[in-house]
Amino acid sequence: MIRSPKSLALAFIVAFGTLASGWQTATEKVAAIPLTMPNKAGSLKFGVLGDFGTGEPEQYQMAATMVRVYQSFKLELMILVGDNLYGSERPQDFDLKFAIPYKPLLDGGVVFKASLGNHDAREQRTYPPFNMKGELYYSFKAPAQNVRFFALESTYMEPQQLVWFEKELKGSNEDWKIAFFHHPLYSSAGRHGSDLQLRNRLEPLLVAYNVSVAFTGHDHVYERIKPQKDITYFVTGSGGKLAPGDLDKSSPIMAKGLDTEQAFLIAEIIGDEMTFNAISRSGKVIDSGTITRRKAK
Amino acid sequence: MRHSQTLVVAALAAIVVAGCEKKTAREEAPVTAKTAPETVAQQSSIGTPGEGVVTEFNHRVEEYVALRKQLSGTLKKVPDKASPKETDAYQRALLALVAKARTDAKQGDVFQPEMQKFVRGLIRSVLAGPDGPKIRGSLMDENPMGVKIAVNDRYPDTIPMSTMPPDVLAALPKLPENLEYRFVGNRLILLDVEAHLVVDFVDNTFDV
Repeated sequence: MIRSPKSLALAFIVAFGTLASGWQTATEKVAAIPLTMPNKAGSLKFGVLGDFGTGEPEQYQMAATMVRVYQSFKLELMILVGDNLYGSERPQDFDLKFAIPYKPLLDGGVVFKASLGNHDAREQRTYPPFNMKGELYYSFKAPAQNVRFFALESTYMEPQQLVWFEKELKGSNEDWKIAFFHHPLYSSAGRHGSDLQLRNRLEPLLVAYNVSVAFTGHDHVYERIKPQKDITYFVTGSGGKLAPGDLDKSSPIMAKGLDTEQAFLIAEIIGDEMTFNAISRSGKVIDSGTITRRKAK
Repeated sequence: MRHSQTLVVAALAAIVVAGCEKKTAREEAPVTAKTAPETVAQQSSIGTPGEGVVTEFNHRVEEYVALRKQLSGTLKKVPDKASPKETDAYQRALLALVAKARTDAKQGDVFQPEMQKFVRGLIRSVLAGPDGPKIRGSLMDENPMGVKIAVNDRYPDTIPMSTMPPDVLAALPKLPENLEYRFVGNRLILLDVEAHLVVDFVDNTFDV
């Protein structure tokens, strides 16, 4: 699986991170990442990662931090908001940019569920570890709690996808409806920012059918948006890429943001509440909170 | 003329309705895109094609799909849980077969001149509408500019896909599975996403 000196070196970063984490736990000489999660049995524990597949050291360092988090927070699901592989997508790139950095999580049984971004070729939908089963958009029931996820393909929002999405939402009886896709409907970043065309099409559906949370990427920052029409939006587009200084700090829609370091997010749903922690590459919790799900009025 | 236009719209509606008959199987098995219904309402009425133009375009698309199906049938089927190596080998083999079978293909074979004119007018009218600035924003987002692409080329592996604005997709004729419209600069290409092959394109669809 490891074919080049570079991938060997990068694999070392993850392996070292994993070993260091175990050593920390064993000796308690180094503080573990101080998560503020309930971490209860029976809850739905999942992660959100986006814009990560660079194959560069920063992605591997982020992956090592994710593995450290996993030592104490056994997430069972990782949703991917696209740009899963940057640049070439040769067979070996699937290893270098995905299978190697996240191997400890894959080996631990974490199920990845992908959506595609504008850097992703269509064949990713058949890559078994992405669990898309050949589809560009799909929905699935979470393995715990009463939650349904909707994965959309936002680079190609053709009419039949919108019709499908509305039908799925209408047919969903789950308490929690969570959408994830690549392009942010709301973003305070300068590089791309809010996709207003997409917002015109998707937001009415998210509002009408009680979607509580939407996870996106594309902008290479972390941002939590202040609730818009009662929906909480996250931009989690710094899983490997980073756009330093790209966030407009004076943005009126930003609740919390980070553009100085890579980040990913973990979340836990228990009943009507979802608790989340956003964690930086260096292992700091840079945002946290609890969201109460929307209910039919 | 009006009667002919009605027939074109009716033909488009028939194509759309024909795709509506798949039923959704809910629960436990993942619900997939294949179950998506379609409605005529989703087909935008922006722009009016000339007599038979869209019908001819659809016919040429169908011819391409038939050729591709015939050629792909000669290749070893890719297993459901194919490795990236197997998938890549299949796609490159498919591209080579299709490109060889279309050696004489040239720009304008699928997008005939009248269809090109229709597409240009349609995209320009979408961009001139009230949401034009928003649509242009979506369209230009990571749109690869200055990339040279020819018919039968493999879409460059390291170039991101342009984001297709929903209003533009709603206005263009619906394509069969594995064919997509994408922009490369202001060139609208018809892309076989499985073979990574540029089937045809229309130049200068909007002012940059």
